[in-house]
Amino acid sequence: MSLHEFLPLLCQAGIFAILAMSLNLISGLTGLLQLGQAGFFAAGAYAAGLLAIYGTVPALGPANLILGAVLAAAVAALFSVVIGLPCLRLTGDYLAIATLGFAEILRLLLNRLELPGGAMFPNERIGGPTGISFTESPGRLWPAHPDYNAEYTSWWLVWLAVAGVYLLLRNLKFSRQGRAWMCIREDEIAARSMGVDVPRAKLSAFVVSAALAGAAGALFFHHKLRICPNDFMLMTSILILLMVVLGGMGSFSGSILAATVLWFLPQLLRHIHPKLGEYQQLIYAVLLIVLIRLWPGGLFGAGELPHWLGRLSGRRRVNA
Amino acid sequence: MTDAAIRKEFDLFFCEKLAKSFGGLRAVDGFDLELRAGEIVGLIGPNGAGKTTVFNLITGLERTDSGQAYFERRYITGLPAHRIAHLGIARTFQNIRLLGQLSVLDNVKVAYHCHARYGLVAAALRLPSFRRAERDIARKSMAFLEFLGLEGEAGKPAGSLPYGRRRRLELARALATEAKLLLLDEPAAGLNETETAELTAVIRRIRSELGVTVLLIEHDMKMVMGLCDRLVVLNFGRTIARGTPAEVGADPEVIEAYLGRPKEECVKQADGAETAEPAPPKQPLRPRRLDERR
Repeated sequence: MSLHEFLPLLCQAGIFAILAMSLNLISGLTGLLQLGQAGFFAAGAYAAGLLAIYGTVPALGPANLILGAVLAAAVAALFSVVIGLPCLRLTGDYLAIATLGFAEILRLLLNRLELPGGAMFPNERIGGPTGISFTESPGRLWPAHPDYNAEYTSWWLVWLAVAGVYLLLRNLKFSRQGRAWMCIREDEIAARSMGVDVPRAKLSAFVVSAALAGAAGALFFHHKLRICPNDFMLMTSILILLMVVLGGMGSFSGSILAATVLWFLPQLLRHIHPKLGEYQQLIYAVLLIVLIRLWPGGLFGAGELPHWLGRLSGRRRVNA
Repeated sequence: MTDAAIRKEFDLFFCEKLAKSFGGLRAVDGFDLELRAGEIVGLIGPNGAGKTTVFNLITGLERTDSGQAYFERRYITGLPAHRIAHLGIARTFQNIRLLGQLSVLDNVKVAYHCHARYGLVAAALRLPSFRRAERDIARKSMAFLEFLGLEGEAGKPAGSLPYGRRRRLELARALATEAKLLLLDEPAAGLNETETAELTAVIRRIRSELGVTVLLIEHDMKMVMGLCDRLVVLNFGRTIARGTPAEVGADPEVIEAYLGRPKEECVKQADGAETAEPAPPKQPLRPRRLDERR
């Protein structure tokens, strides 16, 4: 695999690592099965895309990407509040179906969405099944290398974001809020008796999760520069869930590892034999069944890798 | 006595005419209770008498159909459970509700949800306010574990503890909410004689050292008689007796509720006693239940 092929994949793996961590917050830590993460991903990607098309300020340069990510997170968070207020009264499978429904409705709406091209595409209409595209990411931090195609905008920026999101979520996990979320997962009635405002804690997990997925959407747009509604199908949500399960429900570092492995796996298989790549979906499905049956804890269980390192070096987490 | 006068005397907790029906079943019917600070009060009665429902009504896990409750002269009827927990009423459960995957220490830390005053942002960025609060929480949580003799097991997953220690841990967690009123739902269920004696001592220390008022449901009559200042007896949702353990133990209606009517032949035979007046119950009146499934 040449660098030319590798860097875009690395970039996408990082974006999916963020998505997997965001889903892990709501499904792994808080224990609410959510199948609509692709919906928030799409909302963020479209928000960032439309901002880039209509509102790019060339003078801002890379700051356009930051602006896009902030807007994407805000739009996804807004969606999650609107969806979450009624839906979070549901539990278990019903919540999964409701969020799945939201993601599909959003995708179908985006299929119908047609907008004027603005200053960038004055004579065209954008949106619809072909999606939206952009000529050059304003988030590019250095000129495009002539050998590489335009797609992999600063892979290291994506992985910097992965590290940032990881630290943020790990800190939350070992805080008052994280304990409340885990308490809801384990026993909602105990959580209520301990003074946890359960509906509010669920909503906060839902909103933080959606905002991160939205920010991942912004990175996705600026990476691919061309998105269409079919990028955000149900399979995307399932793939993210598979990453969470493989990495370990509640383990954010596990999600990063699992996202990387699962994103590169089909490519590796394609390298071994071109035919094998066609069976990607089948492999995912079998993997999910085998995992849930034989290895429900996933790679890391509910722990974090640095935890292990801490234990190896003899540092105890139990404070005096 | 007027309402206000009653509330003044029973300044910790006061409720009257609490009622709850499930479909056609009146689980709790006109329940009154007053608690003075520092009391240990027992709530007893046969299975299905509505004792746990009373706890659920007091702690807000279920909404009362009618009646009203005051805690520290504050009207708490209809408040959601987490608000009542914040005000200072904590409870344990008949079927232990611990967080099995979390460590023993983390289980206690959860209880500080009420008191930790830092936001999402402070936690996500590990601001100094967050670090300070977390250090404080860890220290206080360890203190409660030490109070119950669990400090050696702080790092273990809660699910790995033996049964008796799980009960203690749940007690530690309830105390860690810094509650002023503690409701214990069958704390001695499934414990052996020694463990029950230890638990009795712990509950006395909870009152004397922490100044916490205790209301407990218990079937172990020996423990209840020795520990409680006052008893309230429920049967089919109604209060049938109240008073000191000695008074309640001699109450004919209570004996009837537990043993059935004396004229019924089978009761006498089962008792093996032909005496006209059954002796006040000294032993547990029914086999102690093992941990029930949720």
